[in-house]
Amino acid sequence: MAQFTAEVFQNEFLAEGSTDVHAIVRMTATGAGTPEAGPIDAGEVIMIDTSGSMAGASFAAAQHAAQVALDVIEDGTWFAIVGGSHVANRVFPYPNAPSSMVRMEPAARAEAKRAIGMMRAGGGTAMSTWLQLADQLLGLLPPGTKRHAILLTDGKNESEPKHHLTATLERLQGRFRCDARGVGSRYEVAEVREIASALLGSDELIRDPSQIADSFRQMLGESMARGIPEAQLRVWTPQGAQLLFVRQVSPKLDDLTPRRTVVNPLTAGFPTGSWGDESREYHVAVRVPSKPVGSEQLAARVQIVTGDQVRASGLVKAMWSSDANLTARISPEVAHYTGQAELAEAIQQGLAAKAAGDEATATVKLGRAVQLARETGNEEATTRLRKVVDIENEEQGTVRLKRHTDRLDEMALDTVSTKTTRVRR
Amino acid sequence: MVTETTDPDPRPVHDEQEDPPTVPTAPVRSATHDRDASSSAAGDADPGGAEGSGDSGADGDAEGTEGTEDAADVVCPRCGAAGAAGSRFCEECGAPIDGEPDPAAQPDGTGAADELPEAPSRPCVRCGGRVADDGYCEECGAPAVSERDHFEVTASPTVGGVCDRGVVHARNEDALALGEAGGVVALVVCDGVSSAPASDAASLAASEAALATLLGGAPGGEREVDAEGAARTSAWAALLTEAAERANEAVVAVPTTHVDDAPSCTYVAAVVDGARVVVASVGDSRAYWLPDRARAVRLTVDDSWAQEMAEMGVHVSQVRGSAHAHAITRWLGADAPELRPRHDTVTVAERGWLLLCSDGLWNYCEDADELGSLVRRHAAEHDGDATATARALVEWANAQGGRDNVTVALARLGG
Repeated sequence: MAQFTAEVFQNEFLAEGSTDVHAIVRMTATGAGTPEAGPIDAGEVIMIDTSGSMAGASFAAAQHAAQVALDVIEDGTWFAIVGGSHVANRVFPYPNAPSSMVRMEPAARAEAKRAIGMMRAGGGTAMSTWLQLADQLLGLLPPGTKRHAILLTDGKNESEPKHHLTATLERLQGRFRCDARGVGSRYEVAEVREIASALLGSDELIRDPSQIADSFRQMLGESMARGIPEAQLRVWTPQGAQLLFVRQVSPKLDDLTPRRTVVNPLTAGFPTGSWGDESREYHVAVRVPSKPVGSEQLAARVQIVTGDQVRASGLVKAMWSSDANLTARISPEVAHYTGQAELAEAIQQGLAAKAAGDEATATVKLGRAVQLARETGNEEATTRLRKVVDIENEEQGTVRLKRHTDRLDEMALDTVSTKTTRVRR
Repeated sequence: MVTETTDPDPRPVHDEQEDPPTVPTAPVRSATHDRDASSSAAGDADPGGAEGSGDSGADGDAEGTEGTEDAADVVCPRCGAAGAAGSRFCEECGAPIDGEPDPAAQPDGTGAADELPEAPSRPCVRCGGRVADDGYCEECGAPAVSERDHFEVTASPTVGGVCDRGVVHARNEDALALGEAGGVVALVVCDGVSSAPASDAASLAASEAALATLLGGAPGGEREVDAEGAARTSAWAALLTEAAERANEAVVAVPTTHVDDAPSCTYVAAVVDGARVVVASVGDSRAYWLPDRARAVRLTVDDSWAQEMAEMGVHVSQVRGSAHAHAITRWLGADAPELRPRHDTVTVAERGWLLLCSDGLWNYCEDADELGSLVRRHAAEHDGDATATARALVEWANAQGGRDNVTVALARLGG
């Protein structure tokens, strides 16, 4: 039986006249590997880039990876394989098959592997069509089914205007989870991130085609272990208060604020997708009207909800005090994740400036990133920054841009910029 | 609210908690005290006078103190201590005692007996919204206010009062009891001494014991006052002193783990018998007569260091800033100096308000005439309803900062 717990980290004391309350809320699911009422129905769609650019080693590796992935998908799971170029094609079940998705069983697995082997590369890239087909297929499954997809690409989304993809993602939000992977150095990190972020999945860079199979195996293994198909984060704020932002800060940064839905006039809902045994942390910021010293007020109830049932609730409080010893402290968790959010922004802005040829801005931003990575103990970011800049003084954030950098190193740095480290204790 | 002994061992003002003073040797507590008798007397003598007005009327059960029920003992839902029937709060831990005990506290409870009872589902005091199980209002987020933190008592549309924790203090150590019997109105306000533990239980026990004694003097009561003329006034004065003694016994009986720092509280009580108003006080809780068209009259003299200084000719401006300015020199409790309430009497010849209050109110309005204007202004906004006006005055004090517990009891006199 899955259980959720909520923990709140904050300094609830506010100085006289202060209005903004910040808190980190950690939601932890346990026992989620065992579905609540028997095995839950699940659907998996694997989307493989079949554009002309894939031809060669990448394509063969992707075909192999998709075949390996089929072995990980448990019997009884609904599945389909989609090949994507400037159009989307259902590779399996075969286009002339009577049903659009089938349940996994040994014969279906063998036939699907054969179908994957017959795929050919050619054409352009229009990812919105792939995602729409995946949604059509997963949409056939009964309500309550856990819907998951994997998207693999090696190139830019060049056969359609950018806003097509954005509009499609907006429409598909909350309909299924999609983990997105880019392979090689020719795809757009920001595009893959946009897909994963909108569809509540993960995004990663695969440096070498030989690593695709491991990545697929891992994604599907994790998906199978997510026993909670869908949970919603709810944030109640009191009358007269303003919810400034809700941001996932761990395991990776994701601003949920734009995905806000209205549960009731005082409660906002944010989709969080499926859950396995894991912890996620959210930074919640609320502005409340200031109250006299000595007053106490609940600033937010942060809840995790499945179905319509509240599974865990964290209370974010505000207490006005004239004791500067109490009000001056900043919660270490809030400070840590505020720094990590700034770190991600500095890396992304620095790399964008570098790509645009603005070396002065790139140097300043990446220097600040080095400083923040040190302050927040993000060693992975520091390691990856070292491949892009020469660090003169880590503490002061003075750096020089490296003359010759591997584009893959820059992409890897961009990709990990949203990954956060936990607070050091 | 603080006390100061007349010896060189003053208790500090409540906000200065450092350096707890040594108190003169605590007297041995009365071994003959009968707590149940005094408490149940409070219940029996309360003919609906303590009916909670509430905000919604839905919490009548929780505040039901109708004294006509069988005097079966009740059990505190939080700590399991026995209390007398009709008790509003546990004498041990101060938890509110509802009409129906919490099932978790039953002897056959399923292991949950150690948990606190669920927050009572009374509406939010600030906005009237529903209070969630997590203890905060579902609308405005204000913390749930316990029955002890804020309660209201209404005897009639013209007699009522409100007792509130205020803003700054964590506990409400003020208490209020009032009632009407046979045409006699009695009002009692007690202010617990913050520097002494369990003073919240002490003030509540004191006010209830005093009210029971005073209403016993009403027609048909067990101590009916039947003298006439000046002797009648004297009889009421004597009963007010006796009520202070009963209140003192109730305070002494409050259990405490701190043997060298006894629970204690102030006492101000008034009886309205026709046009005759008789008051008695110990400490610095006050009574005022506030006629609509004449100068206000303060009916009590504080037993306070500030008052003693004033009587010695020291100007009030020199006293006000002192750390002892609010220290009191008399109080109820085991370590109290001799119990000798001060009395005053006024004959009401015109319309006006009788006001009893703790220093949580008068600290924000020392001038009696200004206090009169304040009361009349709020009364006008609430159609002259006593409890609503008292509530408005409490809110006014809280808006001024609410630095202390605040209690306001009002009776509209003169028709």
